[in-house]
Amino acid sequence: MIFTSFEFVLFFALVLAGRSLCRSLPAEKWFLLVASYVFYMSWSVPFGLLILATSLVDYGVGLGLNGIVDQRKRKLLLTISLVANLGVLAFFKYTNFLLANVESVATMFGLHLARWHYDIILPAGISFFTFQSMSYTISVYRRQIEPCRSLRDFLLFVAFFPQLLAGPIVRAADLLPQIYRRVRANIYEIESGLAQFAVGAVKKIVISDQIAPNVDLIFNAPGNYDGFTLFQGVLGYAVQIYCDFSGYSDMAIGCARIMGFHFPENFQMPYSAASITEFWQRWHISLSSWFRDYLYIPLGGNRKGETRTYVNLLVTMLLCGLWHGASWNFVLWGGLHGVSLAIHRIWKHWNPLGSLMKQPAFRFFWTPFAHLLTLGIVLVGWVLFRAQNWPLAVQYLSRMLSWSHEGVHLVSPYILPAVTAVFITHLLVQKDRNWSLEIPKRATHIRIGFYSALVLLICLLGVTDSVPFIYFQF
Amino acid sequence: MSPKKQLGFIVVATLLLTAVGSHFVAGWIGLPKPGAAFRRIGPQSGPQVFCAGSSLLQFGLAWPEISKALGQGMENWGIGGSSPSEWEFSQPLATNANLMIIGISVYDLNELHLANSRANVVPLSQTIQDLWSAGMSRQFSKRLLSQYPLAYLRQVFPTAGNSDAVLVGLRRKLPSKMRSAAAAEDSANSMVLPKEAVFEFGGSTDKLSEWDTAKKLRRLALMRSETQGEHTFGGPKQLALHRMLQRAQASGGNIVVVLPVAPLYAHEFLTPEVNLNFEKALTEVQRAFPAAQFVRLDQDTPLQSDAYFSDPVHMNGAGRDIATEAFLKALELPSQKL
Repeated sequence: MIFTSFEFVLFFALVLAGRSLCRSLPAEKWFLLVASYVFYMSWSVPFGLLILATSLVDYGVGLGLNGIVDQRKRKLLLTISLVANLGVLAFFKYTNFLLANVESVATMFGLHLARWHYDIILPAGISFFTFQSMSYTISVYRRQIEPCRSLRDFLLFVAFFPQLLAGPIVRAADLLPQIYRRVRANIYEIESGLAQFAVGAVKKIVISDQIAPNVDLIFNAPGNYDGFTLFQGVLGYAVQIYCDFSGYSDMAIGCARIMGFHFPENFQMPYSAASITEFWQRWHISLSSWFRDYLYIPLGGNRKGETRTYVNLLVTMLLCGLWHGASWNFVLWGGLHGVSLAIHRIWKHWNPLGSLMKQPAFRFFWTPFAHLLTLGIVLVGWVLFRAQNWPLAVQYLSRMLSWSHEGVHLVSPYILPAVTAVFITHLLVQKDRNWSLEIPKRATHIRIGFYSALVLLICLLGVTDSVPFIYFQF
Repeated sequence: MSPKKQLGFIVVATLLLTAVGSHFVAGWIGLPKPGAAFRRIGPQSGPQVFCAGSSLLQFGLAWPEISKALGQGMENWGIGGSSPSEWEFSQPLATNANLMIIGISVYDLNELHLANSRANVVPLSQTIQDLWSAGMSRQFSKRLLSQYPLAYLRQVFPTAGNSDAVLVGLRRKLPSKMRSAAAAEDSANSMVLPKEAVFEFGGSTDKLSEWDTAKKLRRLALMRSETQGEHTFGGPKQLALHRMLQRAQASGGNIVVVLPVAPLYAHEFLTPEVNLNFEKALTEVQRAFPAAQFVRLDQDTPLQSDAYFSDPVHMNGAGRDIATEAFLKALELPSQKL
């Protein structure tokens, strides 16, 4: 059941209607809990039991942590939670990757092992709900939040349907207090929620789904195309993945807001970033802040000297890459970003252009260069991220960067307009503004015009045979 | 006005404006209305031949010649991208038919290729019954059933879910100066249906063999995106085909024309497994209806060239001439063996 399907529209309408009929807060929570499990089990019934199982472990650990003072026992409990969550994640996501690598290493040493491969189906959204659940036990361990005493509330926190499959990863400190009390959206929130949902739907079905076939075509056989076409392909993928994922986040945030729940923003015009550090402050914000708070800072962050800071950055980003998928391509993607973040940090500390940066004329030329350099790194990263394997990624990059004239020259009538529209929006729109919150405050005729334009775009150019969101696979 | 009423007003005004905009664009670009377009040719008196098929059949044979050879009038109710599931509901309209010529292909019979206006033609109850009988997957059933709410939505917003047709229509309408080379190329090859109610589609002079590689790849990518590049048989379309042949058998005879697709399409999508499954589906039909005459134009060697196709699935004028000749020749022979 994806957000852009009729099935979801019907489901959501029933949830809103059913919830309004609940007279007490406990009844409302039970209702939302059942609805959330129905939503998840529409993908797979057995995997609903998997969420239930990991939630029960974390609920128990949370309660246990509250009653124990002995630090060693507390650590042991936290370890149980981490092993349970990461174990589940590792089994479903990384088993075959691990086995394939063991086999490769053995072959290097002249050992020929039997080929191991298990048909393991990856539960939808596993990386998201395990991380959300782990954030709870870590926060309770750090005494940042009180443990949740109600099993029902905790199960709802983990499985709440708007963010269940692809985030945003909402922290316990943000969501649990909203579950404890009865939240209701006012008219302004309903309107802004609808607006954000519509913006997300436009991103997903008008832009991302529309260009996906052409992007796939180029990435499936990069050896067939010239440099221009490959450059167009990676620009298309940059737009596709942004519109797909931020579109999902917008729809999730919009749905939640219509019900009166507030989720943090997950994307903030990432391609307008002037540095790779800024990019990560604008791209998948809930994940990057998760890695910052639960991995980078515990590793020592920037408190243990410069060299250690760079190592911490690199380790964090390598694991962030691995979180996205069980393939060396993702690890390399993470590595590229880790190295770039470290270099940017060195550059900032060195600050060789400090005096020049005070001159407006220099800044006038430097700022676009910084934007282009950042975008360039991000695009190279997307090639590693999207290519089916390492040799294809190398082939893609070498042909694109050498601007090869050999191969098919393809001008996609879908990719170029979409890329232009998205990048112009990034350039022209003030990057820290949230239009879905601002539009409902405008005059009636402006709101009608804006909403009509969105709905008309969906009606004219929306792809109805909607493909699942890219981030569901993570 | 209270905030609640104001939001209500905004929602209604938005939907109203969108509906007007959608109707305007649909009218401007000439978006085909859902439903069948009746066409006929040949003598009106006497028993008629009911021709059931998609545009592959309509463009693939020269109907005036066939009508002349058979000495009978021919009737057709055409629906864009259709298959036996939709043709089945035109069959009762051919009240004076003593023969059915039904054109099928590996493309038409692919269950994953759905007609845009299927839900306007096939009742929901029939679809549910067929999905159940054929034991189709949950994913496919969801896809098929979601066409019904979309059909209702199209009453108000006719362009909803028609993005391909809208894009092609807009490219045709936009001033030629604004068109990109690629867009012009794409639209130049779109099939042009006859405006009159005459069952004669003419012969295209376009040749798939002359398309540049980029255009071929773009078209194949579009086709792949619709079906994920897969072919499955033995679902609702197959059930509808059986019912049609049964009805036609009761009121006269059946000729089943198996139409070819271009080698480009075959090379891209038709794996040995797909071909085997298609043959199985055809064998099943022939076993159930031994009296039906099968004409295998898909096995006609001269047609195995992209030069005889105007796109990956439609024959052009030259292909049509070869196919018509082969068809008329086959009518003189006993049924071809599968």
